[in-house]
Amino acid sequence: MASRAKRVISALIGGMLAGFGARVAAGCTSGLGLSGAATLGIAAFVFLGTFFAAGLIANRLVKGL
Amino acid sequence: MNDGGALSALVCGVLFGYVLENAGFGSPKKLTAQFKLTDWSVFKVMFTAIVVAAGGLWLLKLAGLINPDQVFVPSALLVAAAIGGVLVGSGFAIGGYCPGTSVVGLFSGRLDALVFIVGLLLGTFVFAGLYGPAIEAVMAMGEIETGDTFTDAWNTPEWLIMAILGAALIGVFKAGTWFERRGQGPVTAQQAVAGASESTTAP
Repeated sequence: MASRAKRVISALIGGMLAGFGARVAAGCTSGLGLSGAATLGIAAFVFLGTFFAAGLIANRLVKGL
Repeated sequence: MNDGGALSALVCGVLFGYVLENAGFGSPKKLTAQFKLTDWSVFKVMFTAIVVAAGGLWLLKLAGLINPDQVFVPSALLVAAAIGGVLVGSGFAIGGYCPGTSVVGLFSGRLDALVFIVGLLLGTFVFAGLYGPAIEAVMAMGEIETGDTFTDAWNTPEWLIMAILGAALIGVFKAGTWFERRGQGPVTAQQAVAGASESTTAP
């Protein structure tokens, strides 16, 4: 597959996952992770932990594609 | 929202966008390098922002300049936060952006950011379409009922959390610099802006 088509698909799938996830968590990296952590909210630190762990793993999984 | 709220949202939005673009966070290459551990800018910027904002809020509260009840704290729905973190984190690694940085990427001239934003909207629609008792029940799991902050929930003193955050900030900078030296160094500005005018950019 052309790299351009691949990039469109990965951006679309990534966006869908992030959009769905931000609704589940009621916030995204900035709104929950950053702002929530500044208010010392527990949920924000849980979010940041799983966010980074999943990012590390997903990065390794998609590298081969 | 009152007029002051709209004005402060506009001012904060302009500053936030400026700072994100300035940090190179309109570039999926720069952003995803954090997950490759070759460029720690995302963590350095994020932790600095958290410590500065948390310290500022703490001092303003101590000085009696803001009412703690007026500060929005996210609800301690830990299962929802954990699942959301997994989805946003993997979406970030796969798609190259997080929701906020995709807007910055779009205005840096990246069409893949526009595709990501379309994905965000689709993901939101799918969530709304699937929303019902099942999702609601999962999202309500793992709630800490005694409070939303460490202090409210477990009486952890705020100064202790501030100290831990400060130590974590130093740790992030030390670890980050070590990893960056070990690899090829952080993504440079030139590498970050590469492909900004093309329709697609591999992260």
